Amino acid sequence: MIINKVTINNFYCFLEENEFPFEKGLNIISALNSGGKSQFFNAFYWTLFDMIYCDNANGKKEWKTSSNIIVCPDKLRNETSLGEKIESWVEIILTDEYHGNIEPKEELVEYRFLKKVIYKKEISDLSIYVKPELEISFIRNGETDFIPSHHYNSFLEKIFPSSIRKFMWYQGETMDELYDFSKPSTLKNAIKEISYYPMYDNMHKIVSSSSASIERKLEKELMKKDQLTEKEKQLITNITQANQSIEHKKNIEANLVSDIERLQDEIAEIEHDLKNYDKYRDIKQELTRYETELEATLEKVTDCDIYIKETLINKWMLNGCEKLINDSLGNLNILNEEIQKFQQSTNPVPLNLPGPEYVERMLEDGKCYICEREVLVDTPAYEALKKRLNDFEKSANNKILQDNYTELNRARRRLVSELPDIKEQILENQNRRTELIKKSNSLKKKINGIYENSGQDDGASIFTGAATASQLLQKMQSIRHSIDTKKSSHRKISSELEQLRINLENYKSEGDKLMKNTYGNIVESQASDYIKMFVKSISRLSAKAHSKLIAEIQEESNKLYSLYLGGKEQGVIEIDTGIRIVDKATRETLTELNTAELVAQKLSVANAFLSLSEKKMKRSYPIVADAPTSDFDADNTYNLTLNIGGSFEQMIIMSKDYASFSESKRNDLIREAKIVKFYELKNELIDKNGIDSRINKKTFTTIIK
Amino acid sequence: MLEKFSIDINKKNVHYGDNVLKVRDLFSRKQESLSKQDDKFFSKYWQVYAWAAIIGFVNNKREVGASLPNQSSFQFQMISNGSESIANALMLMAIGKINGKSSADILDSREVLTIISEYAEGGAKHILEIRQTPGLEHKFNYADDYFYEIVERPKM
Repeated sequence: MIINKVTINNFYCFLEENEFPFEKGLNIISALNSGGKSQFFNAFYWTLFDMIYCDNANGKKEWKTSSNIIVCPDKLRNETSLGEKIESWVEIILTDEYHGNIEPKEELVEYRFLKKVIYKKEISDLSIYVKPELEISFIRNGETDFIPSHHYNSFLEKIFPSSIRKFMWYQGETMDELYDFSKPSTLKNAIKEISYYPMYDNMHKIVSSSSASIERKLEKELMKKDQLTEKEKQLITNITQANQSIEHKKNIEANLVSDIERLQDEIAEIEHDLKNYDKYRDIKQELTRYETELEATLEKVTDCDIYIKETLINKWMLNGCEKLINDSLGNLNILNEEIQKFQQSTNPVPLNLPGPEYVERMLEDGKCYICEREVLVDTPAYEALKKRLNDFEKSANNKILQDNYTELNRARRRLVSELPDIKEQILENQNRRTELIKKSNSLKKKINGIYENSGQDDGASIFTGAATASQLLQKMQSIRHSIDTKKSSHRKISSELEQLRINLENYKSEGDKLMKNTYGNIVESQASDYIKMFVKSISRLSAKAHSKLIAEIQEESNKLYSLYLGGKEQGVIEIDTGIRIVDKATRETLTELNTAELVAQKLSVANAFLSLSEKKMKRSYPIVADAPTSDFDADNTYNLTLNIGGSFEQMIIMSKDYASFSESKRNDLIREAKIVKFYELKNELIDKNGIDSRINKKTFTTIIK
Repeated sequence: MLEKFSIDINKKNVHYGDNVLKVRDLFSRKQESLSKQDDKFFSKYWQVYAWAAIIGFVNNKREVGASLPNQSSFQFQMISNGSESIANALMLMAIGKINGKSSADILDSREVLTIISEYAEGGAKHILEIRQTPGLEHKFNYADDYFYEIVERPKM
């Protein structure tokens, strides 16, 4: 297959009609980031498979069904008048073997894929006026023919088989998704597409089932013979039963093997999914730590606020009142003077005298309870008691005055000593509060940073992501457990099968001895012998073909692998049930390889599939690769480009890595790598003096070669 | 026999004037949690009364002989219970303003309360006047204004 021409009209950054003729050999599209190469890649996928690789709601890129995505350039989206219509379309012209031929006959026809959508400008934005529709036509014997739309799927499957399609359309960012060699089925499916190997499988199935059928017939024929002894009959029954058991156990074994493969595929898929979700567990942990710290800090701010407010109301608002409080000293001194004066002028009442209550009662009763004499009113004794009572009152009042003075003076002294510190206390607490606010702001920033780095707007998606990661891990654990159980059942069945086969062989050799003549007379017996021979031969051929094919893929992969890395590869690719890189000498699996090595490994294995497909099936596919060298350094990029083109009939590489090459280096590369077409894309302002916006930008193409 | 001054003053009702009433309604909620978030800085009436009185003392704004018709709001005990420092400071600042000759003049609890209330009235009036100044209409609507007022008081 050769892609002859791609024409892109009003598709993302490609304004109006942009024509890209391609030729056999290596075609390069060079562009810096945002230059339009990924949109060029999208043009293929949009046209052929109705998919677009674009940003999702979280700003992460993913493959999306494109039927509702507006592909029109922003400039037109912005400038078009209300009600006006815009046409966006992509046309791909390619040459391939006529799809109606079952076997390749080198009958080449030109296919034209035209996908078109019409938008209409509404008040808010563009709306889809005519849905995107694909038209496939081809020219055969000078006549143009159209593929009916209900045959599109089968037609696309025929010319781009889905199991090989992913190796043709290489999208650097989604490499892991496309080339998941950890899944056993990836290799298995690819092998089916690139070789005649499945035919051995089918032949083996056919002869095995014929063998089983002829064995059953043979047993029936034997049983019909009248002259069989009881022992012979028993032997035939044993053989029949053993055959049936083997058949039954083989079915179980095949189911177990297929189950184990399916489960291993599931694990590989989960491991792949986990790559997207596993990070959320760490993010969640970090987020929870910061959020707890933030909550505690905000609580401290609230406590600090309450303390500041309470202390302000209860004490700090007295700031600057020291003098006013001290002004009370003059009046307090008057109190003190009164107290002093009283103490100087009055003899203290002796403690051994009766108390005031006792004297009051003597006055009320008119009797002295000390000398037991009567005390009449207005007598000197009565006056003496009254005076005594008065002394008590004066003394008590003086005591209260003394208490008041002491209390007030103490309060004054305390306040006067405490108040000057208020300003310091306020500033200290305000500083503490400011520090806490700073800390909480820094924590908020960290939390926002986590959200930004994770591409999530809120905690919910992170927590959901973390929960999904846990669920996936649990699921993986449960699948691993199922695999272990199935493997153990498989081992048991295998050993039972082995035993049954030994038993069968014993019965058969015993039967051969006992019924040699009987067997010889039955025609089915001879047929059975031939079929057994077929089964054995086809099994051997199939195994040989498989190991030869694997060896070829391995050889081709290693050839490309070494070429892509300019002979500086760290190990070699080994393919058995999976694909890995091993040490050249020890054959130990190499880990901790750099990204360029891993990319080169995947790329070379994928390219080996395509290259072998061309050799074996005479079906060639172009490779359309977006950013294959993004993880390479300049030398590796040069080497890869130099060597990759030679391995395929046609290749279209889109990359930013050539943009950094000097003009002479680029020209050297074009010459040495035999580059047939070299386009340079630049996304630039349309009106050089206009605004710096996508509505004033488009991709300009320069044809370097 | 005399009663102890602190006991005597604590059981007396605080009387206050209409400016204090206005300021009270502007800046205080009654008997609510201090941590409750709203636009009122004070949560108890005594707090806004004491604050107004302190503003009055600090700025020497006394409304001598002011009418004090609001007489049944709270006892001085409320202030003593809320903050002993504030209650003592108010008593001492008022005592400092009495031009008395004897303990009887000085330790007249009603007189002391009246002086505090006259300063509170003067302080409240001063606050209301500040809020009538162009550009300061919202003064004391925010907690920061209380800090500025306190921190920036001139050293006497």
